[in-house]
Amino acid sequence: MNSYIKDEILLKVEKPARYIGNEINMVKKNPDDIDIRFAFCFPDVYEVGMSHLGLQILYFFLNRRNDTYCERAFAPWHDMEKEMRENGIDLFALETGDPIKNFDFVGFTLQYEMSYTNIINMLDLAGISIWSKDRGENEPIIIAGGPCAYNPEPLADIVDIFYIGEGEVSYDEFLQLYKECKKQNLSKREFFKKAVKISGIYIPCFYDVDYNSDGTIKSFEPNFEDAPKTVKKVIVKDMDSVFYPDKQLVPLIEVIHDRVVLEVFRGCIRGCRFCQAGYVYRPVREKSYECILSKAQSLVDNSGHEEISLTSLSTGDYTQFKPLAQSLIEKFSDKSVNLSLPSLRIDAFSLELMKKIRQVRKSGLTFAPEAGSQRLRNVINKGIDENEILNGCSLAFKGGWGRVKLYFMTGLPTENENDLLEMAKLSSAIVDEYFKIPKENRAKSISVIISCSCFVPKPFTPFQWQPQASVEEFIQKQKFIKANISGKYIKFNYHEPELSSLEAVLARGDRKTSKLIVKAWELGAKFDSWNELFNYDAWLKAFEETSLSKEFYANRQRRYDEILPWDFIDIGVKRDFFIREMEKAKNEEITPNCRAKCAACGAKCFGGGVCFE
Amino acid sequence: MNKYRMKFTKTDKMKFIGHLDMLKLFQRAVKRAGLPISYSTGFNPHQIMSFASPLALGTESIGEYCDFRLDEKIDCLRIKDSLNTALPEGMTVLEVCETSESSKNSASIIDAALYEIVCDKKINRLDEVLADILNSKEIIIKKTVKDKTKEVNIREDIYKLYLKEENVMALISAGSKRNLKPELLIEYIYNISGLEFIPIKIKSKRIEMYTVKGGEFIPLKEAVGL
Repeated sequence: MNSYIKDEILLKVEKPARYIGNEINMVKKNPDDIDIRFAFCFPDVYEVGMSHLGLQILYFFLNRRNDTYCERAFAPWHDMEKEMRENGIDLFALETGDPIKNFDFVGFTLQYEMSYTNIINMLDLAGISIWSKDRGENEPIIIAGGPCAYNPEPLADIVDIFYIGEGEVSYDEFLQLYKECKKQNLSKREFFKKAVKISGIYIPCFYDVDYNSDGTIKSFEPNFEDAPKTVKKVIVKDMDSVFYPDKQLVPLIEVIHDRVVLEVFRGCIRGCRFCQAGYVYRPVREKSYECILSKAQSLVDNSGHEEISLTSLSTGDYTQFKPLAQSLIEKFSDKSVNLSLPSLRIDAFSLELMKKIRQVRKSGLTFAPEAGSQRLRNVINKGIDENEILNGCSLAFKGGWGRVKLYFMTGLPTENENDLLEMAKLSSAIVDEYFKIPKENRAKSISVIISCSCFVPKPFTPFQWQPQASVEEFIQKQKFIKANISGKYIKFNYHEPELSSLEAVLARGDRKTSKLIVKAWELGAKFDSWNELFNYDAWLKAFEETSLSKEFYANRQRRYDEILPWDFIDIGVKRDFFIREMEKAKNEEITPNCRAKCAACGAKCFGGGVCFE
Repeated sequence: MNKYRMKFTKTDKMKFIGHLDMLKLFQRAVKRAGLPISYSTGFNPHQIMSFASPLALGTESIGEYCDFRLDEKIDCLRIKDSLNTALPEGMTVLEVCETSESSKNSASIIDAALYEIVCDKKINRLDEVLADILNSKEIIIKKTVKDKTKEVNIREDIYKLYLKEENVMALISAGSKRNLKPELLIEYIYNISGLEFIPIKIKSKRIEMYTVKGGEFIPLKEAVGL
């Protein structure tokens, strides 16, 4: 460990184990024996980052290379940050305790927009220049990937290189190239010029943006001949042969998810029109269940975890779901290993399964109707109807579950008062469903929790052109719903619209928003997604000081012919498809899922997955 | 049947792992070690495993104890070796021994613990200070429990007190009957020596835990009822 992090500093902060590394399965290498030092940075606290599957995969993927040492760093909690600043401690990697400013690469995973200020803070804590243009030859190369990288522009002046797509595809080629360039003592710029030719690599400094007088983009062009006009995402074609770790880092302290994670597929067949993940990860690519089972054994043996979680965007859509779930139960039930099944549709089979694995009792059952009325569910293409929800709840009540949680969104395109009323009605109908069941056959008590978030239009969705409701409108809507919910069994929770309004700005931000993020950070914003630290005023002041308009980004209706900041990124799914989907949404028409009928979105160009089933 | 007691260390970085996290850590370690740990019966089965006495966060130890039960008889040396491959750096099993079926667990028999304490400041005539404590009838300290401060006499909790080079060795009460935190004793020593006491600057290490039998202090690893 870093010799200058004294015990007495760690004893002053909350949860010192966040900063010591030493976890089970941590990779140990001698830095003198390797060519490339890579700091995998998660811009949130340790417990959040360590629960992230992408970190586990990439950590072992990069470390399988003998020439590379991938270490980790997380955002220090504010108590530790204070100690670090007071004692002159630079942000360090957990494995060796070495300052990450001396590494070759500092890589950030972009999981949610509201972690961007933490990235700035971590760079600053590390002693690394914040702006890409200011970074010298001796500073690390800043690279970023993950779902938010599909609109990289808000961080384009800060991050040197973006990786668009799935890490397993191009990292080997990329690191090999870097190693060669380093050996030849080439400058960063020379390396960038070569790296820009690798699939999935976007290097912002090779592109110029020109703006119209109204602030919209006039042109977005490469300024270097080898930089491609569009950057196409890279994805894994064959999920069975792709690398998947056979061990996991097992933290020494409790984190959000302490369990073995088995990925079952990538992508989603559903096509909910608000959901970015549902489009950017297309097409659906499954792992065979034999492949998943064999990983399960080694992951359980090497971690000692007592819970296995199947993970994907919609696990119930896995074609081999039943045999997989049954095999896992047979294989592990006598070893006191539980199965956890997030993202599951509630029906007779899944309830039967849940009884068997005796989970859920602690947390209750969750439904995500997203919208209150069938009309609005058609608009967003959420393929769940009221009967399905009511029947599911009824089955759950009969099976002994008394807590039901419903996820809704407000501010969806075309939403009217009646849609919101229906949300309240649906909640009451669920309570009625409970009382229809004879006392002896139902759960002892009932509670329905309505959790209402604020819709944020995202890039690469049919709603990418839509305005977001204003903060005031959100508050009105929340008040309206609250006033129409009655009965002691229903509890109403809602998200802060202020935070969602900023998320909308950053999600669809352009290159100009880089300075907004840095300004907000200068004014004190960090850990924005943490209620107790969220500083809305800092952000409002940042808009003022940078002369950027919040409404321009969040609340403006964009035209179909506007050049969007992320237009140069090619996710396979075509712009025409999104326009078609938006028009169908207006007409309240649904689009069947990928397995029922191909909607010709364009993802077939990757030559694999569900498109060829 | 198949009851065991192990003695283990918790040093270096592992001193930053709290008691509850350490329980969880051991539950996983026995599974990685492939040991057939026994489970309780009932709706929520849990591993049959219990620890002698929680260790304060930041305190090291080379004398921790844990009792556990296995579904089958396994050689003690093999248990030790397999656990040591599964534990993180800073935790090492020193010894595993079988305990008799009727033996009580560590937590219920522990009476005392020996600590080695490194002071951050030079204390004048420390040997005399320690001797004075042992010669006193009463050692009154202020103890704060839930906003209430009361005065307690800790003299009877101090069994032995001596110097090992510069460090204070304190054999003091531990367990459910009587329990003295070593920091309280050190704070007292600082106070009577007129020195400022800053808890995070004191390094302490638990060396061994004992049960008292016929006036003798017997290390828990020897109190196995066999």
